[in-house]
Amino acid sequence: MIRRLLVAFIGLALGVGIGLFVGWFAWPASFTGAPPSVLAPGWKNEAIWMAAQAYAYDGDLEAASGRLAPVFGSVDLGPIVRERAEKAIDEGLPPDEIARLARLAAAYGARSPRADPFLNRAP
Amino acid sequence: MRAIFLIGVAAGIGLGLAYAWLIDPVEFTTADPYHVDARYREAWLVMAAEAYLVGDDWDRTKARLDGLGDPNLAHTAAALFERYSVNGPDPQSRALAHLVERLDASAVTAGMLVYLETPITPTPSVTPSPASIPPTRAPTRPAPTPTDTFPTLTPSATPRPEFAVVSSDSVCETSPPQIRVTVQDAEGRGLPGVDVWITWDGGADRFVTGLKPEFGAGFGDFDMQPDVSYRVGAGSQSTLALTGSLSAEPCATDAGARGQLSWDVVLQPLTP
Repeated sequence: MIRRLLVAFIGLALGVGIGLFVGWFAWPASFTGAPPSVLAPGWKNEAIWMAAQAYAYDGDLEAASGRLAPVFGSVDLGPIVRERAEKAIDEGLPPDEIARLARLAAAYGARSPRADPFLNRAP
Repeated sequence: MRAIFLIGVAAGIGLGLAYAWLIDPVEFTTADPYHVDARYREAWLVMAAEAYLVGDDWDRTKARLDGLGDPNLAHTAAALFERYSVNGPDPQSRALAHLVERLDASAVTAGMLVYLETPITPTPSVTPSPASIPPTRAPTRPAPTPTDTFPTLTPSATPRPEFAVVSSDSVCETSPPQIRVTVQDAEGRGLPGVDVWITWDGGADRFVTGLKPEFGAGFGDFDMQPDVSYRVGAGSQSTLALTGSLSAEPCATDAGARGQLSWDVVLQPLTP
């Protein structure tokens, strides 16, 4: 009897291990409907670029906030965009792209001596 | 004995899967746009469409859209276009129409033609690509299907802002709320004679800077009404708002008095 229980327990433990491996690693639960705040850093970065480009197109700051706030939460979005603009300057990215970021940051009231020279470029 | 072992394994797998999928599933902290809620996926799609018209980088746009994992993206965008365009022309509808045409010309509808016939002059630029986004091959652009059933529509020009918002700050004051606009050049010199437009739902007003020189050559102001959201535009494009909604919300001053928000907006002309 004890031996049967031992065999059943070993089988159960082995099965749980297999189940956890499959459920966590091999075939994890996939879902949609996650909050945008869990986007991968690369996609969050891309959201900033897109929001700045879209703002250059529609000039709608409220829409830009509606696009960035779900990703970054209820924080001041200006410094986030300004930081990306300054990073773009460090990376030597095209001035037009930097200008769009700087312009969106400035619309939020987040300016910096490094980004300001890009403000008067055409959109 | 072997049967007992197999039953134990099967029960264990069931328990393990139940725990891993239902009780403590993997938490996504590096999700793709595909995983996020439907509302933001739509926002992502519109944002990518607008950004495409500005950046004109199809490879990058395609990578952004691929993140949505939508096999029928053209039809999704077309459906979104129908929803946006029901309230009349707007920038989002225009962007979506161009995106649909780029994705699948056969998905273009009659309602999109008014936007597609409008000349678009996107800013030519080399857009940086983040390392996390794989390059994609640009699809061949199919020719639109000719038809006689489409109505003749008059295209309108794409609005481009002539001014940029340098700052937009709210101030809590006990005096009647105002929107105070200063238009200045890159050196901070006030610019008189600039048309500034204040728009709100169902109305619009205009003033010219410089009529109150005691406050600066580029200054102008507008008296706000409570419970109305205003937007500020400038130049010849009276309907193109440069700011978000500005409203005279109740507030408390630093001294603790009850007041309303006034807004100080600084604009700067964009050089072509």
